[in-house]
Amino acid sequence: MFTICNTVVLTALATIPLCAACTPARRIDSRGNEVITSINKVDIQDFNLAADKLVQSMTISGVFAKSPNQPAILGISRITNDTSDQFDTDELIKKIRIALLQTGKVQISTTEGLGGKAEDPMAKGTRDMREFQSGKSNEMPRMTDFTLTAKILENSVSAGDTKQTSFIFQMSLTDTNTGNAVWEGEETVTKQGQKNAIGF
Amino acid sequence: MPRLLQFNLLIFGLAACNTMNTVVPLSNAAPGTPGFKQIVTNSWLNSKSNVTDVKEDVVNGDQKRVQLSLYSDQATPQSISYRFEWFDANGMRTTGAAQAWQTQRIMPRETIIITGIGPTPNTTQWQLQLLDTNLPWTQ
Repeated sequence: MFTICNTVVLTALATIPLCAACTPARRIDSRGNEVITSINKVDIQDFNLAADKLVQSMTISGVFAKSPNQPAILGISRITNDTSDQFDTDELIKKIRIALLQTGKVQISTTEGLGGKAEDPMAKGTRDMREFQSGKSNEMPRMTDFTLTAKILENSVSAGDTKQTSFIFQMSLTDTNTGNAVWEGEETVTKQGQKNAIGF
Repeated sequence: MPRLLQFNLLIFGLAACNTMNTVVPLSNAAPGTPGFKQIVTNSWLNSKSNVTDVKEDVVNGDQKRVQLSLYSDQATPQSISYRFEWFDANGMRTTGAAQAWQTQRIMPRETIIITGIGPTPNTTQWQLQLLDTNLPWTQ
């Protein structure tokens, strides 16, 4: 009996490192606590965290709720990635757009963009055609009430083998009627460690 | 031999005990009692993130805002993670674009304040989920 129990326990113990060493690929919750945290890269959870905090700050400020035009129209202006990590800034901006749209107090313009470029050229063409056919092409269309600009910065330091990287997400909201910033927000995500890890 | 088995069970037990604590508001709380309920499945986590106060209000006319005070009874700095879940009047879950787990450092005997805003105007109910990020044997 003793030998059987001993064999079972020893086999179980020997299996643990083998199982840990050969984790098969699997899908995980991208908002959960199993995602990989990297030191020198902006992770998906960094975008989630920054977007969540910045939208919360923007919402509490009440700038969209106070706008004379309801819902207010927001245009997306220059978004700058000044970090050493190459990523599409839509990873951040799209989350903010979705969260703002859900509040019902703002709509995002896809026919007005930076440098006169429409994000959705087909929608712009259809709107222009509709205005031309209705004889309103000479009238001033409703412009964006606010524009959003953002910059993402990086600050890295190390002490011995430990690295620390801060990603700073800065955002400004400008009232196009006055040309003045009516809200500004900054969120810093700092990560420290020697190597990438799974979890928070 | 029984000691070896006990040791193995302890290791497996510790690895599996990072369960979640949940805080829910009580709509029918009696006067003088807390207007919330803590569902504690992890008492270690509760000792470093005990909810002591909950406040609710409405911002921008229709968006629910919740503020919770969390107290740590521990003698060393701790980390916790939290996430808000939001529901409409029918109890249906409303998902925000960026509702993710957030990590928060809490110092010894400190009370921290965390805030959440409902993602949509029709959000009326909420719950807070708490999870441990540094476990006693990893410090």
